[in-house]
Amino acid sequence: MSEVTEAGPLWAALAPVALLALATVGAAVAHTQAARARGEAALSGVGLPFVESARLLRQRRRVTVAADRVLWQVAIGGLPVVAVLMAVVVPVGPVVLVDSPVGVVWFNAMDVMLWALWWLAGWGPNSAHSLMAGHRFLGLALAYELPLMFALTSPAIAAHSLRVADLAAAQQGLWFAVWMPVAFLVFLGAAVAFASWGPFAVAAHADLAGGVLAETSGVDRWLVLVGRHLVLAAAALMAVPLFLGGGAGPLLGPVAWTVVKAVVVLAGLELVAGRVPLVRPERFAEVGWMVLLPATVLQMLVAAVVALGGAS
Amino acid sequence: MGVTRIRRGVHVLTSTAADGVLVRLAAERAVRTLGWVLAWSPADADVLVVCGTPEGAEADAVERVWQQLPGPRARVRLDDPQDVSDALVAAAAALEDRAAQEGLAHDADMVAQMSTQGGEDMDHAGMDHEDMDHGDMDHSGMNHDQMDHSHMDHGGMSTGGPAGIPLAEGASKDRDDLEMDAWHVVLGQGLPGWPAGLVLRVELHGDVVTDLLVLAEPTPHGRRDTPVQAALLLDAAASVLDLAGWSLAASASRRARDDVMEGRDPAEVAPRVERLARRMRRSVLLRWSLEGPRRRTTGDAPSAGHLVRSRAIGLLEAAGSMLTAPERGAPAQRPYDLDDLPALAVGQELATLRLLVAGLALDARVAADV
Repeated sequence: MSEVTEAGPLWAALAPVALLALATVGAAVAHTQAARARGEAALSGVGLPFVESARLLRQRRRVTVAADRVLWQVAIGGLPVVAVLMAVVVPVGPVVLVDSPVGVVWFNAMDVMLWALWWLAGWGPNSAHSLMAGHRFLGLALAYELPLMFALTSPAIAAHSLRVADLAAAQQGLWFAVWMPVAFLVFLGAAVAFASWGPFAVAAHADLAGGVLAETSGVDRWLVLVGRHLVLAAAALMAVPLFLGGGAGPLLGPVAWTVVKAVVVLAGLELVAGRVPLVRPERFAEVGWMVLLPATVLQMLVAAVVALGGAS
Repeated sequence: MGVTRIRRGVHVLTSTAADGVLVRLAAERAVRTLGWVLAWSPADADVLVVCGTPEGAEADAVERVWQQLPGPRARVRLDDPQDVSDALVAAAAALEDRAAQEGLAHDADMVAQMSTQGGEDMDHAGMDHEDMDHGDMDHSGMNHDQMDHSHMDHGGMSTGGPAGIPLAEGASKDRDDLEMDAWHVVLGQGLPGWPAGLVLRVELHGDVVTDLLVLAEPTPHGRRDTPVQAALLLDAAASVLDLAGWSLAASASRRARDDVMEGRDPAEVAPRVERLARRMRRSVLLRWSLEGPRRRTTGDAPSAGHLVRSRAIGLLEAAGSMLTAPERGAPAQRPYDLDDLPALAVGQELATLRLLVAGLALDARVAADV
């Protein structure tokens, strides 16, 4: 058992702000890449998340005819909330908001919530393109979810625990990312997919006029876009105790190392946008079930054998 | 309240009439140099740039797209590529004009209220909804995907669905032998990468196209100078790449297009275009995403995905060779045409139809091609 202390309520109030700051870094990376591709000066994209936020926060909200306003708002507001709930079980150095004995399962439950939210975001506006995009996300989710579950299970097996702090502590000497590369890569890929980002941005892409974003404007759109970066940030943060040894590292303290590692992972996730074409769900289903699922099961087997060997 | 600095990050939607294609290229170039962004839908846009002179049904469509901009919003209509930059700067200033924006917001509220009159639920303050076919065959509306039914059938509609919108009709069996609702979507202006003047009406089961009708077809224009024609091919390639999700490559293609239109030496741009074409040809992911895992055996009819990929690469290669050797003119290669579209698109997802349409490069079509 590794020692982490649960943070007090004051920290709980600060946590969403901290996650938002991390997500802002991520958004700045993504905007910078896009701005450079358009031919703008190298660092001109850094301020764009703020420019975009200011623009959206003073924009009017559109409501479509016969929209399912309640469910639409649930989806829009739900994305940032779920992202924060994902992050609460992640220890940052010696402190964690919720020291749950089943933190890994909690994270998994939150990412499954995203199925509902993306679909509802497509259902809500009563619009053809949005609805199709929402359904398309479910098609993708069917392909990534099971490999993701097994990818989350492998480190838990190796650490004999579902408590996130124990996972971080179990990696003294060798990171799980090094000897469980399949689980690590599947986790990262699934993070991009459940944030509907980059090659897996099937819920919000140009080929369906923006998909779930086709009818969304103003603060609603802001919440969806921010929610997406928050989800990516939460996933990057989770990757640190899960695969990258938590706060362990020389010189800098555990808090700093956690943040540094999370920023590096997040930048990687953000930079995948636009570099590769959109992966169609019907194509990815084949890969998900025929390649990734067996691969992650094998990975789990390896983790189990190693864990048994270590225990005897 | 003078605007000393031009705002960054303004989102611009272009709506292009048949005579406005070159104006659109100029507008998109100006958007890029101002550090602005092209919008994906009316809800995403601050400024509507109407390129050329829309007429008749097209003008109605522009009006409906305009009504869907959330606001603060501004609209400019342009005929001359020379005026573009000044007009966009003026539009940015109009976004800051508080009094004018309040007036526009008031207008929008009035339109929204009108559209709900007769509907039993005043909560539905929007002015557009998805476009299932409501039985009215008047498809003059070609905006984006939303047909605005505010003046048509909200009043006396009594059938079933919410806000007087009838539910989608049941269809027989679909591609996968499932019983699905059929719905009708009109595709036209306001969609990203959509060619000027084309209006399609598609019947969908879920997102699978089961029927397709060309409601309006753009008229091809006269022969253009070689560099301009090359720029139009690059523009079409950028649209395909954008829809395929490879936005960094799309940006590269747009930059090459803009450089050509700015009068940069074609010989200087050509190598970049050829490099991009090579990258596309080599990309395993693009091939897999568009064509699927199986390589085509000779003799098979090419699938829609095969056609899109070869067409997109062909567009870049044609542009490259026109830039290196302008005297040779346009290499003629067109693996499919607008007439083939129904046969190709039926049974495919709507996203594939979008790619097929972008691959047609209708904005670059000249009269001799047809």
